[in-house]
Amino acid sequence: MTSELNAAEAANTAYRIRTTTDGVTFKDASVPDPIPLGRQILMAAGVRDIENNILYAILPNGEFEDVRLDETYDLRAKGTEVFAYFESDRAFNFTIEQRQMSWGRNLISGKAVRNLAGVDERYTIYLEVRGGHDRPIGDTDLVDLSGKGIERFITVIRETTEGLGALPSADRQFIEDHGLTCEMIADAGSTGVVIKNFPLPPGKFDRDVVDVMIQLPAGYPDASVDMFFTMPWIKLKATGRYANCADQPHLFGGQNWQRWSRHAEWRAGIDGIRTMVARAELAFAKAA
Amino acid sequence: MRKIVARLLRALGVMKFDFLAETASTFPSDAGLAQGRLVVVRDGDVEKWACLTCPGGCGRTINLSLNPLRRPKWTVAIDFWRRPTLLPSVHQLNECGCHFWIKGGCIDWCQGGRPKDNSAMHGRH
Ligand SMILES: [Zn+2]
Repeated sequence: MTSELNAAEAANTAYRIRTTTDGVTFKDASVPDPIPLGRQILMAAGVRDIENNILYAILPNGEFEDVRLDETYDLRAKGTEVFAYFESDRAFNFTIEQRQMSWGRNLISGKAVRNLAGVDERYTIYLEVRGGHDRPIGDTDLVDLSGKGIERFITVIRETTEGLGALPSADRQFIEDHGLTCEMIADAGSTGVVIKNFPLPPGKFDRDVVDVMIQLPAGYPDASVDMFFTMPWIKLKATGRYANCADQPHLFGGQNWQRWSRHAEWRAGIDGIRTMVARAELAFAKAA
Repeated sequence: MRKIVARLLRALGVMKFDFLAETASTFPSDAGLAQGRLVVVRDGDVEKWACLTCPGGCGRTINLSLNPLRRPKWTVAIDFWRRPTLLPSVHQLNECGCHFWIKGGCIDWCQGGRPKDNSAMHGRH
């Protein structure tokens, strides 16, 4: 009776852990012992070929600590809940924001770096490049950790823009002449100009004004601007639907914009914000 | 040395600046950024980042990309006294919302771009 009770209690107090081997998917598991051996953790994670795996505890501060198979690990001591394991005998080290991390494969995805280090979506992760510009690493980009030297990652929050001073003077003049209220927004590697409270044809849409965003490519104004985007999403009053070719979302600067797929030639040296305003006006007028 | 002289000249009221520039070969940690310092990360010939603590008083670090092939992007020029000029302006989209230029080491607030609690910073002009 007593032993049954103890067993029941133990089951209730089983230590919950999460395990990952790719840094992207995390599996829930539980270990009955608060001070398991490394191999017990691997067993709980469902690993079969335990001898050929290496195991790391990911500490609450994001640092990696390696755990040998026959070493005990006190789950209560450091509040560790997450473990990473690799079928490998070699570790690749890297740092992110000065924190030491380890990985059991030579390739790591941006998503894995983000998840392992707990980097929030508002930050862009860059790989430090010696002698060159640091390279932004998207979720699906792969970084090879096997080169000589330890790869270093840095993170930069996307909350800073250039202000309208970054626009060519013709654009600034146009904005001023037409009394437009504009602001700049940023995403990884590009800038968007948001024209606030852009007037819509009266009675045509479910709103009278909308914010229009024009995304500037790196080579702007020589490089062409293609589509434009609105926020909030607008529907045609007559049909209660989105206009043709304006029903797809576009993620930019942490917001989901309504994409207006309207294409036209771009004349370098001539076209600019003025062109895009005209294009948006025409698109709203003709929308069906 | 030049920086010490610059600070002395500022103390004497001969020179004005809010920021002096220094260079580093690697990206600084947030903790390594003292108020009034603009750190230019330069690796060989490549100027990569300009890093500063927000002059709006919120304490946030601002990291500006100097990569000409990406946006947003800035350029930084440093004069004899190491006073930086940053182009174009810096506009924070966070709660602080400050919007300013740095010209010849001095902060030039844009209209409506100056948070209310930064009187201490402005008082140094
Ligand atoms: Zn601030």
